[in-house]
Amino acid sequence: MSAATLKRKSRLAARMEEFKAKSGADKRRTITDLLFNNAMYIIIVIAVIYIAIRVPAFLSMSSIVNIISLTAAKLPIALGIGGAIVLTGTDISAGRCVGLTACIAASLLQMTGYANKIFPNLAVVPLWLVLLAVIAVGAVIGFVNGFFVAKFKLHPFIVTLSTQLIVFGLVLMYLMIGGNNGQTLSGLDESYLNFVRGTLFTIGGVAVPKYVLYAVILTAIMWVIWNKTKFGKNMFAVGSNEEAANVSGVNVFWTIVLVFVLAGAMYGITGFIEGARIASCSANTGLNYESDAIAACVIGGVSFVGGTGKISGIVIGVFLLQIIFVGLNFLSVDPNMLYVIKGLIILVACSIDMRKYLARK
Amino acid sequence: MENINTNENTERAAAVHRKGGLYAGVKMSLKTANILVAVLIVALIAVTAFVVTHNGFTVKFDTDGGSQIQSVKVMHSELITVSEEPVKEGFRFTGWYTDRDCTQLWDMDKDTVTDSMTLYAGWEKKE
Repeated sequence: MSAATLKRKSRLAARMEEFKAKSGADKRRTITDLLFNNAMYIIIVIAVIYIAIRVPAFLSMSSIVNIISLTAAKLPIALGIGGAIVLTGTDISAGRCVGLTACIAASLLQMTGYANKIFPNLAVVPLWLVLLAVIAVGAVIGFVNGFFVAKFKLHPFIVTLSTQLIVFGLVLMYLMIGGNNGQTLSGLDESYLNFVRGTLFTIGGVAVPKYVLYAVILTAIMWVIWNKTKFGKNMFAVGSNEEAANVSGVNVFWTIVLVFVLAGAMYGITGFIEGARIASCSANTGLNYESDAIAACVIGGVSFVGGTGKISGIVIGVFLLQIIFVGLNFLSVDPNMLYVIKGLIILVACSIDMRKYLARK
Repeated sequence: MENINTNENTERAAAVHRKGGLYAGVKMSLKTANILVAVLIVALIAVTAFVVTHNGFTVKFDTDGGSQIQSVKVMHSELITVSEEPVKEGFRFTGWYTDRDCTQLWDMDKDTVTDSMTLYAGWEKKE
């Protein structure tokens, strides 16, 4: 047995001892806390078991790879929004931001000779240049968000609501450029499609797309930023208590701005991946992506109390949500009804988060 | 000098006290919160159960001016069955497509449904 498992076991034993020593009322309280704090996980586990029994194909290799791929696709945007939630804020411009950057990436990387090209005379643009361009676009939108949140002390909901509208307007105008006339962007260059959707490796005859690797890399980068850099520590300080952070010499303004810029850059990368992943970008691309991301963060323990949250939690949150959505799809649940469930999931997850705060107080 | 220090300390203390983020203003006993959250969880489970028992994807048919075809309910990984082919004055029906531009043909005998969708009728002008 490794040292780590031994340590975990002894910690568990210590917890049990602690629990046994408690009085009846305290015991009940501990159990209630445990049930409420993990209610979302319990529901999801029961749902997965139910779906797996009803539709065995749900646990087939292709379905599991599909869930992992979807998780990878939705992860970067959640990693970005996570920072905003650590600051007790949120970002509802994320989805539209992904839509804009996806359309920009797709338009710059349409294959030469494609009939409905948005820029007919454009030669093949190098991939890295497009990637940098969409990251820059995302970062600029993030900067606008961060600036008004940090300087004007406006609630992130209001600021990002306005940028959401502005960005949507920009998407619609962008799609009218040239001969495109608002149509869906398709006919993407082979190198772009291959860079994103190409096979990373095959497992059990099912191809795992390359963007899974990119999501892993981004997660690692964000983990380092959150846990090992001064900026990350400042972010948690500002999130848990802005005034205290300010008094302790943290530059609150730049911390907030950078959190939103970083989030914007993440949306840019998501847009770049999404452009090739769905391979037909329209004004609807990215719609409501932020709602999934916010729900995933809250389920993963990034709290609106501020200053708490882990990258691993976000990964788990995104993964669990995708399991549920794919599972409900297997049960033939109409997408219209799925919206109602998504809304309820956000409400329940945030309520549990609030209750956690009350219980700790 | 000391005065300023004390001021700073009280300021710090006040700041620490203001913790709680979005929930700083919540005024509710834990008991009430337990009941309300439990009700919400039950609501989520109930709605999910309702949705799962009232399942089925809706496949709509867009005939672009041809005869109306009723939308059908189809389960996951099932084939679509349409009772009749649409007709349109002066055109010949060429099949169902998943896009309005009629480039992606939907093979009624092979393609299985994985989501709600609209199928578009393809038309060819009669000579």
